[in-house]
Amino acid sequence: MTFPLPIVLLPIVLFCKGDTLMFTEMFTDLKSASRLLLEAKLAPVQGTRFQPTGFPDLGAAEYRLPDGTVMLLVESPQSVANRLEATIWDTANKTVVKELQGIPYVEVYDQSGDFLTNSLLEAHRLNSNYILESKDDSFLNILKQELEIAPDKPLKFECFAKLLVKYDLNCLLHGLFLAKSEIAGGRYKMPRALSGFIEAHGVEKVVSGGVKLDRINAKGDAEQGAGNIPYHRVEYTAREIKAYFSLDLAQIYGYSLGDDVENLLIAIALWKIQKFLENGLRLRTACDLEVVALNVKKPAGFELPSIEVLSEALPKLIETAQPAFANPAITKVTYIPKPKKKKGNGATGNAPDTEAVEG
Amino acid sequence: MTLNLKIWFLAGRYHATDWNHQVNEGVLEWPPSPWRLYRTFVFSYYRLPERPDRSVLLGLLERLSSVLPHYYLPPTAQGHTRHYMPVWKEGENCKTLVFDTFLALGNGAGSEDAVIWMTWPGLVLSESHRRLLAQLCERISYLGRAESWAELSIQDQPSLGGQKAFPLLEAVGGTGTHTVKVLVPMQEELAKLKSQTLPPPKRGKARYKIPQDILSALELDIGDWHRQGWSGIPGARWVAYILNDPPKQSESSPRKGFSLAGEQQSESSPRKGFSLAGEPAFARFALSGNVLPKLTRALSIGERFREALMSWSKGHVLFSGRDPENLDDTGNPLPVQGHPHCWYLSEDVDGDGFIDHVLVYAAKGFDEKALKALRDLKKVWSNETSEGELQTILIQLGRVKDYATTLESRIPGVSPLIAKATTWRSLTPMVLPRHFKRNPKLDPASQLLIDSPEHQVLSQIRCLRKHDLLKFSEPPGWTWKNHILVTQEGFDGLYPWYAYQRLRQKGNGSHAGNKAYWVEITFPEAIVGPLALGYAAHFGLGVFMPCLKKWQTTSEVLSADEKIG
Repeated sequence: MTFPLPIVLLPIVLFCKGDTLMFTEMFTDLKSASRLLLEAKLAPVQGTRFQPTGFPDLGAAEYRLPDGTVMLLVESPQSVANRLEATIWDTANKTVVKELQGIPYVEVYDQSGDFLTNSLLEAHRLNSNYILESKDDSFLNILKQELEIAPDKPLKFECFAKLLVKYDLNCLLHGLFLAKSEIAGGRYKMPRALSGFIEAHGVEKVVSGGVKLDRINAKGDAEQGAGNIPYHRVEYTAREIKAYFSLDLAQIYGYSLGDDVENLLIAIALWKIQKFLENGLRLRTACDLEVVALNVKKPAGFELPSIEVLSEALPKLIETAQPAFANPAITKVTYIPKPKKKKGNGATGNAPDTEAVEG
Repeated sequence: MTLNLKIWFLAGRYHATDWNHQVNEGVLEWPPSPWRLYRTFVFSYYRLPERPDRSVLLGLLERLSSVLPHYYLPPTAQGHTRHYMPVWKEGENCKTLVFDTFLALGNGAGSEDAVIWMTWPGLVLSESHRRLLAQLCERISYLGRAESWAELSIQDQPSLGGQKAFPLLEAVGGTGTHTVKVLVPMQEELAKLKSQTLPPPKRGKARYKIPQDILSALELDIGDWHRQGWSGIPGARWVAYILNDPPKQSESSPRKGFSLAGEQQSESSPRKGFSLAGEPAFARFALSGNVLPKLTRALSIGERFREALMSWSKGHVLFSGRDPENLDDTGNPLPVQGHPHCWYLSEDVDGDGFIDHVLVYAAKGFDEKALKALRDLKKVWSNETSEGELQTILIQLGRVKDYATTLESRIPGVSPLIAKATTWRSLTPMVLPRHFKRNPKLDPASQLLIDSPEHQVLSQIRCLRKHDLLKFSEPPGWTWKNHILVTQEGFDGLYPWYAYQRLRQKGNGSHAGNKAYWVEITFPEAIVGPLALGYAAHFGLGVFMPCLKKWQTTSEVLSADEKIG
């Protein structure tokens, strides 16, 4: 004869297994979806004005909808990518945040052994000139060998994806373009799976300004920063500000990396979004936003896990996926500058970022 | 049966560089070509977890390319951003400026109307092809550049609407207004290529290779074509498509309505077929700067444009307004008569009180030397600390008569100052050239007091008419009384008249004091702009905008008269 579990114990059992259950269900739900779409309604923390990103020779990126509504690109996809990448780096301690300890990336040191940079901080990730344009070509050789590059053979994108998991799996989320001619003629391009942007709907300009006062000599030399200098300032108000995020699940599943790595990539992407929305919305001095509402547009019915739940689950997910990483997870290289060439004959340098990849 | 494909742009924007242009030219491929779409299908195929045999994909692509698709397009508006890209080149870190041009579709991000429909009339797919196409569509996350988030799906019940684009060959009677060229993969093209003997490889290039089939052609890397020296894409052809109405373009494009003399005109230009055989009479510049100048600085902007163009043209008479062959007693060139020299007229297209465009207009047209200066102009500068450098982008060059349409049928992107309208109203206030006499007489013809503000407006109109710059006829018995409204109150409330700069920094010109007036004129018939009257009219004061609103009542006119008196 069996006895039912005492009622008092049941919630405890469920609580202990809660995270695992939730995550298993979450990943199962997402398996049938091709993409995850999120929309966050934002508002200035104080007041109604905000300062958008500025573009060279253009200022703020205003554009119009076909019906004439004035729109404003508050944060471009490139900028949001940078901000999402920055969420996992602990600047004070020069390491990844504790939740993501154990993930693979490439660290760069100078010849005296001092830390220079790493693939998480570099604008072009693994395609950084400090990693691939160094006299120390150890990592370049790793790429060549493990990608099994052969002339007149098709590219092996699954192989490329596995290599990225091994050395810096964040490249799978944010994209990578190995622009060197030595690496299959620069054909290895990985579009970003995680993307986002912020835009404002129905904007109006708020023009203000002032004068920088010089208490000693009002007519001092302005070029040296002296004298009274008038300045302009343009801020904006908007009917609505929204952040949009897209996680391309089909792309992640397409690399056949296995459940452990796929689940980890999804969890990291969600963690980055949540962290950015929680702590990263002070975009500029005069642009401090907060989330008013966060909606999942696709897949219908999906519940976004909170940052606490994700933070607790990530170390376990990293541990599970560890066999796919390099051992040790952090690959160290030394940057030794190459002598400057007189005429370019092969060094292609960094080609446009993955934003420029066209399907 | 028809195959219907729905392409929903989730971010409400479409980014894609036209095949024949470099990204920084800011030219978009619109509509998305079948070539781009089929390459995206191939890209998607290689990311399927369980790929069907290659022959299935080949069969699908052969079926798709056997029919030219039709498009149903949403309304669009063009915009762009510019950013610097870090580049590692020749042992140095440097940067390069990149333009990202895009089309805003429908109602923007998340809207249900940011959708393109593509239909292949009469195309029936087998079950395996249809299944594969559905799988490929499900795996596609963007079309064009990576920011063009897209969701593709096959639909049995399409909700077709919007602007239709279809192959020109299929057009009966030519109902569309203009054509675009669309890149299409063609099996016949490939077969024709295979039957030809290829020339020997070009110097320093690899041997030409002809793709085996349409899938191989779509799989080819652009770098491979370049290495083999192909001038086009093997297995592809440009097909002319006809659009059933002109696409709507916004004002913020770097190449909006681009129609520069000497440049190949875009196929999608609303003025396709427009010839620049005659001399262009206007050049329109878009302004770019951290802070655009207020409309109150129109006079200063006009003077800055003149100085810059005089500098580029080494003092061309069209810009200087002074004839070097006609000197006064002291040897200085005299002003040219008849207003053939340039007008520098500021515009505030979006009505926010800031100057966003400048129209440089020469009634008799520009000659080659002047055109070169206009093309060379990239910026105007200022010695004043409060006004920095302004970037200028030449966006239109043309003849007024080719663009002068009524306000109702005005083409977006064309200057409103050269519209055709009956009623015109001040954009910038007018400074009178002469003082109002204490004991004025009545002009019997116009029924206006001589040298009153209204009479001076009329004198200016007559002057322009005399020099053939304004053309209209006055019906018998018609007088100007009550058809010229002069006020100091303003019409839009943006800035009061005294906020405007009203004196030129250099140069002469008669003016009666500092006062400026707002004017509304109703002509007996529609006239073609531009229209600017009074002191410094060539430099941006007294500029008129066409308006739809009819003339005010007599009592309003009289009360305005009292205020002036």
